[in-house]
Amino acid sequence: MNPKGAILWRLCFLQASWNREGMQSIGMVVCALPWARSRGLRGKELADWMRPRLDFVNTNPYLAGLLLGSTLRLSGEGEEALAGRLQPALSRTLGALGDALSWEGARPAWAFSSLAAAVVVGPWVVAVGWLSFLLAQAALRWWGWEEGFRRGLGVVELLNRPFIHRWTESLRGFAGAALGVALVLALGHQQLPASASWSLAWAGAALACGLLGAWRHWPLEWILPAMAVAGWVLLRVGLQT
Amino acid sequence: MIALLALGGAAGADRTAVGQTLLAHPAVAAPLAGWIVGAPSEGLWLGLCMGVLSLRAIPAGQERPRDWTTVAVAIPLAVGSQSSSWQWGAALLLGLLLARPLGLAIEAVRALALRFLQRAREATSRGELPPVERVHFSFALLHFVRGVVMTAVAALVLRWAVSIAASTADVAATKILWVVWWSAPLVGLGSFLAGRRRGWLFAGLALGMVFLLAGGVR
Repeated sequence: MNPKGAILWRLCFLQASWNREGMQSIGMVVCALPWARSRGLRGKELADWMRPRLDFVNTNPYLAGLLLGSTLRLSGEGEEALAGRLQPALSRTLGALGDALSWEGARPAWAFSSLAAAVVVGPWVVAVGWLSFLLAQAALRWWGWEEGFRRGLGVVELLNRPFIHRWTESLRGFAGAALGVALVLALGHQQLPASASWSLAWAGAALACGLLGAWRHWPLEWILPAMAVAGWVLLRVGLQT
Repeated sequence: MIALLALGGAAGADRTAVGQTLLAHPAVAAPLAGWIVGAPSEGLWLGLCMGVLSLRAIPAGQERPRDWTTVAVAIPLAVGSQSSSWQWGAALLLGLLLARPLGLAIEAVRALALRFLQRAREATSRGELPPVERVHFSFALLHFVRGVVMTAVAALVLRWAVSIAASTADVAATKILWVVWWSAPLVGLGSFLAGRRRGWLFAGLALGMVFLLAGGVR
């Protein structure tokens, strides 16, 4: 039986048993198990195969297929030691590339552009945006597994090409632009305070606090409550005098 | 309410265990929750607020999680469609403070996963096969249940707090909470301006202005 379908399905559950010690190691073992069984591994042999793989894996979940495909390809060719050496290096590289691409690029770009479109068209657009991202990430996982298994060690050469960096930079820029559009359009829907000078002063203070918070690495969730308390005190004093 | 709890569970599992399909992103979860409760505009605004405020939270490696996802679903569930802007502002403020305590539930499930990993390692060392598949998929289900339970808990806490605020807040408090509601994304925006993508952000702001002036909003 061809285990590809089972592996691809399991890649979607990669982080289910994520933990602080092995991180994605259990998930990777679960993804690779159909392949190991298809090669006839059972009982103690399978336990021996599993043991080193439970140590530690940490990579980007969307690009994990590249790592899994290439290391299983090498293992299948009898290059077990090479696969063992490749895994930590490749997982770190894919983690760094994939985190920048997905968490700072694709995800905010997709979310904020859906949000901007939803303000104009209707809230159902957010559901369409989510479904399209669901399909896109499934396609990326599929591509990762196919490319990884086809190339084996050649994955290293693939990652040397600059296209992932170009995508990342483009998506980061697009995320910023989408956020700007969404903010202005959504603000157009809000009922703003009647006093323009007071509103501008507050907006300026909010921006300044955000900038200062980013510079000093303050947790953003504390800035807004702190501003609210300060604003309440000032307003009470102003109302009393 | 059942639909919102199911959304909380699915988004909770999506955030940590299954797919990472963007359902857990506050900019997606909050508009969907707002749409379900019948407050679509407030849901979109909440999504924007929380999406911007959570931009710096990248779930990499050893990061201690803040559960923005649960908060994004629980606020519309707690506040409902008939509330005024200042009540949304009150729920947002408290929700921001709840994100970190709610993240402790994620940590608890992960601690259980760590215990299983240690047992699995011991079993393989003895040449025995641990039930990795069954347990691994059970954790996905556990994250779903965590999402449902935490959404319910957060919504109860937020509803209680908003009802207390409704009966005790003075004029200054309601004014400031209203201001907090409309200005929340600006704090996140300030943090975005400290990054390297300012040019794109300004281009987006200008494009949005043009679209707004052209009357392109419903």
